[in-house]
Amino acid sequence: MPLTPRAAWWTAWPVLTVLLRRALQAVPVLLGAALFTFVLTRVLPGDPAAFLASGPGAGPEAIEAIRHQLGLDRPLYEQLGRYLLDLARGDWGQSFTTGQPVLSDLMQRLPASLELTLLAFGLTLLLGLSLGTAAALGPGTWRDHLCRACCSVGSCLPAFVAGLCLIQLFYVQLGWVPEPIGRFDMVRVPPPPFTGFLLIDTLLSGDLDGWRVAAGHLLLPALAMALFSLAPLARVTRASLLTVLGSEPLRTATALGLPRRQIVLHYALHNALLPIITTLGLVFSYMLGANVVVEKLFAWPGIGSYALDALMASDHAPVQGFVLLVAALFVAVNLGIDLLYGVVDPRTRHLQ
Amino acid sequence: MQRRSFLHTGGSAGLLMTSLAASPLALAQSRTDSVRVLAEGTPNSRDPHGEGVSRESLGTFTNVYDRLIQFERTRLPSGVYRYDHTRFRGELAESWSSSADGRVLTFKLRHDAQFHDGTPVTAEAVKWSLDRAVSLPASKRQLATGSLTQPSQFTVLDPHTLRITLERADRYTLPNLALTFASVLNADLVRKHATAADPWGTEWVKNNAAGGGAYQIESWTPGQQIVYARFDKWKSGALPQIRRAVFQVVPAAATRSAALQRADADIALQLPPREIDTLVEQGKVFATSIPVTNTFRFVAFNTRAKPFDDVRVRQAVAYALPYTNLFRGASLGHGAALFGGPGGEPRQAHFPQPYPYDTQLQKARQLLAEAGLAQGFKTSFSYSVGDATISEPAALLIQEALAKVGIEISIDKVPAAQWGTLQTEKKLPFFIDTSSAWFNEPDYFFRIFFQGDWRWNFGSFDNAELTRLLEQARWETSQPKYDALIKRAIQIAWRELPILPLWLPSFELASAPDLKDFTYYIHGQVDFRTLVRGGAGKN
Repeated sequence: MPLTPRAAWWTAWPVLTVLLRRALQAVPVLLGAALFTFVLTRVLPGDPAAFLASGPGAGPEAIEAIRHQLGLDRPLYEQLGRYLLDLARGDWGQSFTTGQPVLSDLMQRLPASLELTLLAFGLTLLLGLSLGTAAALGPGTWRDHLCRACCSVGSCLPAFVAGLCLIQLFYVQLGWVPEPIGRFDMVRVPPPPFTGFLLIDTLLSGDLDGWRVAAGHLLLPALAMALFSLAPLARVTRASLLTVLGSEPLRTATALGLPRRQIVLHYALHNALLPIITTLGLVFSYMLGANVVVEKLFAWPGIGSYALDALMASDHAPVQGFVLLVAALFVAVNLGIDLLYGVVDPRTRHLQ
Repeated sequence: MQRRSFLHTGGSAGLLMTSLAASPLALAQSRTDSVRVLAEGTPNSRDPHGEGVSRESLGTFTNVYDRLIQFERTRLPSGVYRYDHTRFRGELAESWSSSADGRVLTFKLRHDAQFHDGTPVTAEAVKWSLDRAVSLPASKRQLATGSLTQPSQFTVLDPHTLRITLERADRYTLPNLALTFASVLNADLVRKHATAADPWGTEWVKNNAAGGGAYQIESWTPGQQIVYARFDKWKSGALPQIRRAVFQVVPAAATRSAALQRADADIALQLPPREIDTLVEQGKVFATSIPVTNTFRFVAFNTRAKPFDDVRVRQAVAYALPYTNLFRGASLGHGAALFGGPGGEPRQAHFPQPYPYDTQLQKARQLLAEAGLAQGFKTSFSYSVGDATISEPAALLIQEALAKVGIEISIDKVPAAQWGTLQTEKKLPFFIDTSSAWFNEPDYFFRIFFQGDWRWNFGSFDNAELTRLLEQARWETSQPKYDALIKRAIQIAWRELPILPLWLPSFELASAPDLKDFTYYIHGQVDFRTLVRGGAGKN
């Protein structure tokens, strides 16, 4: 539809205002997350100094020296103040398990987690939506049963078990995929890191073989994650679509003799989208935080396994950094979902 | 297949890879000189004297640094080797001699040895390294057990001769010098990075290897993988066959095992007994259990607090545990039992050896009644989540068995990060764990685990007679007298039960069928120097 410049001006404005307002709203959320993790890591049992000095015969004075070195002997408010100031300056602290700055560790590992989560999310979307739609269009038929079976199996099979089964089948027995270790074959030189996403970087550097290798490594972990998270999406799609198909406007459309294809694709799916999008937001956020198990199983160098290792070692800074980063991602995802609402449902634009 | 050629040619030659892999000759060659190890944990330091280093780091130190001497090894029936803690051979030292009274050790260094940057290895560098070792706390604690405590004990006689002076002859000096704590560092290189606040350059060495060992670190990705490349000018032994070794962290045991089965990996470390049994059944890879004599699985009591301050209660538990079920159920029978021994006078003076206890519920009830606890009691039983593979089933079996004599235990899973703190502070009444000592000699073992105000005295035990026996045994040079002292000490441990050993675990090796001559050391890591692949011996 051709827009006059004036209309374009007006349509652009609300989005900008929303973005700005949401960005401002995110500040207290992130501050809260920082405060929360700070308190949490101080309350957690396990003394990092004692952990570091746990070699044979480490006496109290050795532990005290390490505590001083880590700044743990200062008053709590002073530690908090320093922490927030450092955060503001972009210094997220130092990990003593890797010996690197936390921010660079996280930035190095974030693409690995994001790539895996996004692909798994894509698979969830594909499988969940098609299963749910197929089921809703034929309640009680074999398609409906298939959907139900997939949902039940997916939701009761932990990602770890699903991953193990996939490895056993596709790697050990069939040998279709490369070894389930890491993101890339270690025989290869990784592509120059433009985006950090191997699927994109290999294409950018024209390395088609590399692309296949990276995809092979991604497939099983992404599938394991997708299996686990497709259940809520398929169920909501089915339920929402069923409700919409039974609603009066749709019945009217059927009565008017509109083709079924048009009814389903154009009217029903569109109207059913809102609860689906809400679920999508939840599923994505959940996948982002809950892929630790899959990362561990597939030796994936992501942020989840990084945070878990740090937690096991009483290494506070990476844990705090991880929570903060995930909080920021959640904020971004929620913002994206809210903007999507506006696109899908004109009624919500006024609310924003 | 391509992996091997990569290992052979190096990361920078990645473009050549495909063509190399296509040639059968290149393929055969590269397969014989590379190795890929998958492990659960990760090395976290390159400083052999560092604080808080992980067990995997000991493997790094072994391969990257040389020491004056190293342990000899003996061949086991399965074809793999096991280090011998009583015999030594030179590494940087060409020869060494001891004075008649054993107080002065003189080491002659080989003349051709050099560090990775080409600097020759001199007696001065060795002295500086040993000075550093006895000045930094972690290494000092260990080396002190071999009477190595002061820099003044190390004297440079000439560029290739070093003298070590001891207060008195000590049977633990040589074994300590063969440990990674006595590694030799490139003194000139480290000194360049030392600061006034950090005179030994600990911050720098933590992230930078400064050695002259058989392998150099080619790449180090924290928490993920380490690539080692052979140092071709290494002189302290025959040039190793393995040119390139990759150590990768794969946290899930099932994944490590799968990669080994598919021949994508050559050695999988830290596989639990169940995985090993499966691999043995399938027969596609080489798997063997190497008996370990200085690591043991045990339950410990807090002997300073009720109710376990009463020896009768500890003995009651010792008679109530379901040993056979525990050993089969938790460890799947891997290892050597430490229960059901004959009792009376110990036949041999080694330790640990089977304790004279087995499951006799009647005796357990009787002992509890004598202790005034005929009705039983409640307590908690703890284990570390990091050790859950073995500890969790064991804890459940123990809970079930003790309920039969009226002891009700609540199982307490402790996060791995907290475990050390709780043990150090002696806050656990009753727990299961595993531990090991660097050396096998009983007096050394007893000093670590049955006395002292530290974490390793798991039972918080204090016994005047035992202390006296151990002091005598420490410097006893006559073997029969030493044995007599130790046998008395063992009887005290049996009777008093500060801890109750259950079994000796075994080191489980799972490797590619063509990989030969693996050598087991106490740290259970891989020494790439001794490995041989396939028919390489004939080339």
